[in-house]
Amino acid sequence: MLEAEVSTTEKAALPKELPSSQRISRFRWGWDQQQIRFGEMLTPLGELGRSLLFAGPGVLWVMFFLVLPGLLLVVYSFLSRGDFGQIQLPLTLENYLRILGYGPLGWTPIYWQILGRSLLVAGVTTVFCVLLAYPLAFFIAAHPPRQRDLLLTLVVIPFWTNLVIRTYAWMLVLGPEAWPARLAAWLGWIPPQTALYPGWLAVYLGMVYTFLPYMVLPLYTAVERIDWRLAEAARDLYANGWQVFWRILLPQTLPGLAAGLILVGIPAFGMFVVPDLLGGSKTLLIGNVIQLQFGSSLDYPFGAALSFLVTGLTLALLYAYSRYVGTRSLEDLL
Amino acid sequence: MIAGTSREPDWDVELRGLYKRFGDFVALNGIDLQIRRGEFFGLLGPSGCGKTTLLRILAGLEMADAGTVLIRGRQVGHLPAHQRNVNTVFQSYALFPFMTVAENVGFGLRMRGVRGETLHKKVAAALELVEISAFAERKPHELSGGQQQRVALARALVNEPEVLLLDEPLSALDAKLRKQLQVQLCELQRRLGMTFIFVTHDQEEALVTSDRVAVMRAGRIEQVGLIDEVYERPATAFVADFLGASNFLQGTACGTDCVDTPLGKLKVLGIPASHEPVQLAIRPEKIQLSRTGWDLLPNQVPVRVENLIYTGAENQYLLRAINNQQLKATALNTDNEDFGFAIGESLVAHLPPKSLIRLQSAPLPTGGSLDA
Repeated sequence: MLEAEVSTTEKAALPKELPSSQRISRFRWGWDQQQIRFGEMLTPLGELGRSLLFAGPGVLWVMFFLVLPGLLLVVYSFLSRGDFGQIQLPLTLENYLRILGYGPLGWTPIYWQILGRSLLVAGVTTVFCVLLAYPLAFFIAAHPPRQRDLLLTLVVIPFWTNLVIRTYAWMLVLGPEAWPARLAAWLGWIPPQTALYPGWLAVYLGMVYTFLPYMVLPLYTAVERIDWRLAEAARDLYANGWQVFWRILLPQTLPGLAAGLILVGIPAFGMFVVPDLLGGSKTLLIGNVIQLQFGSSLDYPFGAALSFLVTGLTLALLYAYSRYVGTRSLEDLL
Repeated sequence: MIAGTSREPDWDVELRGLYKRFGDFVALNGIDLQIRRGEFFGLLGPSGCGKTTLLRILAGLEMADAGTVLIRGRQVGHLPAHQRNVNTVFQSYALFPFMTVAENVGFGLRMRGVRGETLHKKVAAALELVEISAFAERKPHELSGGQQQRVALARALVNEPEVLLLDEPLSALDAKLRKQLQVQLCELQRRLGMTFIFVTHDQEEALVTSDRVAVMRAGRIEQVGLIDEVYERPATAFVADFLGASNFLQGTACGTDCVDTPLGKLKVLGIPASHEPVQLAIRPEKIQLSRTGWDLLPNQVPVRVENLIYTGAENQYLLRAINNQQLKATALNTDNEDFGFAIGESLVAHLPPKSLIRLQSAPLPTGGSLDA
């Protein structure tokens, strides 16, 4: 049917003197030439219009709220800070030199340290999230479907409350009057009447708590898709329980793990709310430093340089990761 | 506790009183079965008859609620799958998708601590055996169904199991490939001398491959025997109908070797003088047809051709005899004179006395709540 329609319209559009061999050719091109595209008769112009209609709003959104601010950030990072925090010329590399450690008071490794510390915190947080999320994902997947939905809802419920408020709640939980601090005091680990924050323990608790759902959800999806017949086959081939888990079940969850690593690792690297509220000056992370530049320090150019660096580092890590693991899990994520 | 080893040394598998239920469903209802060393044993039955459950109990993937499982005289009923020297070729193949063909085949050996050169050699030999050496480094999803099937076979065979279990291994393949692999499986089994237990619901597959078969129905074994024995002398109507096709005749004995049926009095061998009811079966291909009839032969019945199905190799006739009795008969597609009857033609059917099989009178084994 459609084929027939094409040939008649093509015939109508063609001058008569063309040889018949060209008349049935499908691969001609012209602005007014109708072809079947995506199951519709469209001219190339029409197709372009259709594409803009559907993709245009999204493209504009990304341009205005992601690409342009990003470019602005790059420009800022090469400008200087005025005496009152205003952004002004001249163009300079000073912001980047300062990150490398060449400040007005001589060389200092402070930003390297903070960067390294941030990577470490993100790494440790991710590892703990993996260790906690695996049993949880299997636990949820082992339930009948209706109970699974309930359990998954429980995992997601914290998202209904703002992160800052949840972090303040941790301050209550870890406060001097609550039983964890009392227990620690009774055991002699901390002096009586003191809180369990600020400190690394509180920061890690808060970080793992915050990011655990981002690890559980993709892992659960992977666990739910496990082909258990393969486990039976492995059993039949003399694998014991641990071998079945390590060699047969775990490999099937790797796409979920990869997604979880990215979903947890990247935001954990830039996190500032949790270390800000539950940590002190010793737990300053790169996120906090950036936040300070745009906040009390009013040094937008330096903040921009730091942001640009963090973004670049993240992209570089992602690139290395995709080269090593492959992009399939990243595509799954999208 | 070792039982039966000295008495019956050549039983590879012995099952006694196996019973298994899933909730209210009784999957196995008292299975007693012996399987010889080195035989190709077919477990045949309709879906839901318990044949796969039986296989899974042998593999150790399922535990029986009651009964004994002996493999080479050793009690294994309590052992989990990985401690049994038995391997399975699964219906779904269950190949590990993230491993290459060679890694798949070597998995069982590696789990048993085989490493290095020995591992390499054994895997290579197994791949050679099923003719997939060329695909050793591919992933399972890059192979065709038939090739995947061979990998599954090699993965099981490489461990040299005491018994190889095959759970409808050919059911996912197309008809032509299936027939080819049936023959190859037989050849392989004979070459290796390994005990194969082959589950299938396809009677033709069982006929082609198996030395002996057990026909199962509703958690019980209906009949066990050599494949030709079971085909030629089916014990019950169910077996006669499931394995091949059959005509059934209800009658009463009317003296020695005589049964009174709707077709008249027929001569049947092995009927004692009595007046008890008798159920008879005859295979369609055993019925002879003729336009003229034969001299001196008993059991000649006038029939009319009601329908004819041409299947290439043979013709299938649906015949109507006296008392509205229907008979199915098949005849090979030869170019003989006495062949190629048309619909509506009147013929004489000969039911040879030795081809009329007396079935066990009880139509159903008392299966408890199973058939309710």
